[in-house]
Amino acid sequence: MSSSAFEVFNLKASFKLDERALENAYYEKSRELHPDRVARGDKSALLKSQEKSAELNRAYQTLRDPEQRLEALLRMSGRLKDEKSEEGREAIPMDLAEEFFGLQEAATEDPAIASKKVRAFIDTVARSAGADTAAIRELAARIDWESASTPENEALIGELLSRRKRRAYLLSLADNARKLGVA
Amino acid sequence: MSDQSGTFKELPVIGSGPDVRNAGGQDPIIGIDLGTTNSLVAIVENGVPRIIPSREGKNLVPSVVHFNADGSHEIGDAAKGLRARDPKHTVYSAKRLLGRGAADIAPIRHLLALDLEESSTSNVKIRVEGRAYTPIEISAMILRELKASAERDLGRPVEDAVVTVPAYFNDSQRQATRAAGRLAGLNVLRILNEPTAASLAYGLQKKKNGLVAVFDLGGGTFDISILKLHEGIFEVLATNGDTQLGGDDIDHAVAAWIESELRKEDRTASFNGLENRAALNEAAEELKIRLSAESTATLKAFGVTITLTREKLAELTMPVLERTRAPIETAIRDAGLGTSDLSDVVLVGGPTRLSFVRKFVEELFGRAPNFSMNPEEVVALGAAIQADILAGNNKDFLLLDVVPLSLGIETFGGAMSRLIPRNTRIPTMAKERFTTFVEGQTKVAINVFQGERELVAENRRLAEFVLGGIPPLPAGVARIEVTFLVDADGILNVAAKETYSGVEQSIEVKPMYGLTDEEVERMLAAGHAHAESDARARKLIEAKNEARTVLAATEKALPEMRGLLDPKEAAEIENLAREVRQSLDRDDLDRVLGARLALDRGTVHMAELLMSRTLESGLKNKRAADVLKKS
Ligand SMILES: Nc1ncnc2c1ncn2[C@@H]1O[C@H](COP(=O)(O)OP(=O)(O)OP(=O)(O)O)[C@@H](O)[C@H]1O
Ligand SMILES: [Mg+2]
Repeated sequence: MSSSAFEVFNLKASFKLDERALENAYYEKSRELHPDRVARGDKSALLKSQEKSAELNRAYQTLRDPEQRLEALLRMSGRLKDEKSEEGREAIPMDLAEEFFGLQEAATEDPAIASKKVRAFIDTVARSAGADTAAIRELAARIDWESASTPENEALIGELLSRRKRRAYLLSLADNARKLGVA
Repeated sequence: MSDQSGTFKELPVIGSGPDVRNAGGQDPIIGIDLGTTNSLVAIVENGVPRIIPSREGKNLVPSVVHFNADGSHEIGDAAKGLRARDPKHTVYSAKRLLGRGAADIAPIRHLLALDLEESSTSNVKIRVEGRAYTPIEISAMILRELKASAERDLGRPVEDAVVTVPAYFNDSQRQATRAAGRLAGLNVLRILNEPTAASLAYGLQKKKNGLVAVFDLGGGTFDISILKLHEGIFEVLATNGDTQLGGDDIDHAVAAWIESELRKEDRTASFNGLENRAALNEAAEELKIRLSAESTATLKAFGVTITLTREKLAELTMPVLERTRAPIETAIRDAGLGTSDLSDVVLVGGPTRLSFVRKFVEELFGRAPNFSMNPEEVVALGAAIQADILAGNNKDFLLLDVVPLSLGIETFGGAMSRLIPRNTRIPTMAKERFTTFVEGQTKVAINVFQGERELVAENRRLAEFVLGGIPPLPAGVARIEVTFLVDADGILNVAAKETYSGVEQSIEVKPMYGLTDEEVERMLAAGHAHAESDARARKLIEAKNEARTVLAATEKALPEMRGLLDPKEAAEIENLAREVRQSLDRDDLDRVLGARLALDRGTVHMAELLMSRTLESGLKNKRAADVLKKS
């Protein structure tokens, strides 16, 4: 098994992160592990350095991106697959979904008028998804990922997952709306 | 310490002539900028990079090869001079064809004054007098010339090199470049991105932290890279570009304009054919270059006087420059930045000498670009700095680069499944599981693609990997784990394992336009033919070095020891020394070795006298030359 992104940097599992410190740690470890350091070494040293360096690079890219970082945390606590289950179904914003179906009909009748409405709809949806993102990050920062199974954490994770589900639905709505065509 | 030649590397060296300047340390690593138009070689000595001059004493070696009737060829200025007069035997801009198939070059093919042989399955070739050369072979000839320049200048054999490529070069083009290096007898330790190399030279000069954009418009390629410089770390945040965009395209635009001017004189005139194309391109380039210093340029072409103003040139060039806009915007966005975040814009490449190119860049970035460095030399200097890093001499600098294009495999319906997105830091690794669809299936073919489009058909197919040796199992049972590794050269490596049975997989690679097996074989065979002459050249260089060392030691010791020597003996030593000196002017290995040995023998007595004068007892039983060197 390869190490988790947090392990690579000797960090505790946490959504909160000192970006500066992470960057400096990345630079420091790169200086040590990069294949440039063994350019004239033997083949096995080179292979090992490539592997270590690749692992470091991936861990860094995972940690510095909040979305990927959260996904890593969910995966580590075994909750990423929960998202695919039915849990959080009630999170789907019915009002926006209905508005979309209305637009779909309007688009077949008069594309010109629909086009304007579609654009406004996409804006609304994007704003709503943005609010979800902020809420998701705020929740993620409150969760103690080292001991994720306390009742309090469970409740927070449940809320986070349903927010994520809502956001995913919104983004797919926006995608579909775009396909209706904005002239 | 043995007595064999070669130990001289560890001995303190007497004298400081240019030929022994670099002796004493490890084998040198040179940095090479293999350009579309010009190539250069550079080296770092004691932390300072410098360009190594060519045979003709110039820093820039035109990337042009001219073939003579007797099968010999010349490279550089000599070849460039013959380009217009003898276009049928002159090959230029081979880099534009490197690692490319017929479909890749379709848009520019009619503009090149080259006789091309195209096939849909292998690299385009260049025909000269009934022989077809791959661009790899042409590039290898240029690299060989640069290697020779370095060996002449450094006075020792050179094998290890860093070779630069445009950052936006794909896997096939990188592999082709590496193959050219191998063919030239070089051990290519790193394929380095040109703008990244430039940033190293910039960083060495400025010693500043910040966010830097490198705008590199060369002869045939355009790159834009966004870097973060931080305490010796050069971190590429994003890169983009166009590998078919450069000064050549300005020439083509000007050539088309000249053609239309000429038609005003003679409506029926036709300018097709190699000679005419070459003459038009040549005239166009001359006008363009002159207009970087003058506001109007005039020349005679096809018997007609042509006058071009800088304004008109700017107008003709604008469509070329406009094509840099989209890649620049994408790169800045991919870096997660806005133009105002950048602290400097570095200019690289000959065309950035044109004032309106600089103005275009200034408007695009909202700041005056930096052109304090020679735009044609900065890449080679950077390559030398990277070489110095690889040699372990520079522990302060480290480059962290990215892969320029997304890498993926085909999934259902011809969609591209992205395994490694563009701008991922390298080295990088991705693992993917495959299985069999038919009972007893023992082979799985995987097609790897590179590009940003959603459908694989619109991306470039790099290679087909055929995984063989899968144990016969029911359909879907085999678990084949494939590891895709993009190394620090930006080149893809693939390994596979069947995890159900634990059987190692054999992988057969069928590159698309890179190298067919047949080509590799032929080239390696040709390489062997060169290997012998290489070995001889290497021996000669080593022998001359050793001889120079002994000679210098003798010349230093003789005046001091003369009083203790018999006049006849002193005269004999002088004779032997003269013979060594003369042998150095010839490329005759046996003569150099013989003369040096004779001098060795002839100075044994003098060395003994010298030794008895020395208090150091540790010098006993040493070869005379060694003692002389220590004196
Ligand atoms: N003074 C000048 N004014 C305008 N253009 C120039 C000038 N000097 C050189 N060039 C042009 O610059 C180009 C060559 O630039 P450069 O040597 O940087 O390219 P290269 O490194 O060979 O190419 P690439 O980097 O694309 O492989 C040619 O098109 C040449 O005509
Ligand atoms: Mg260049």
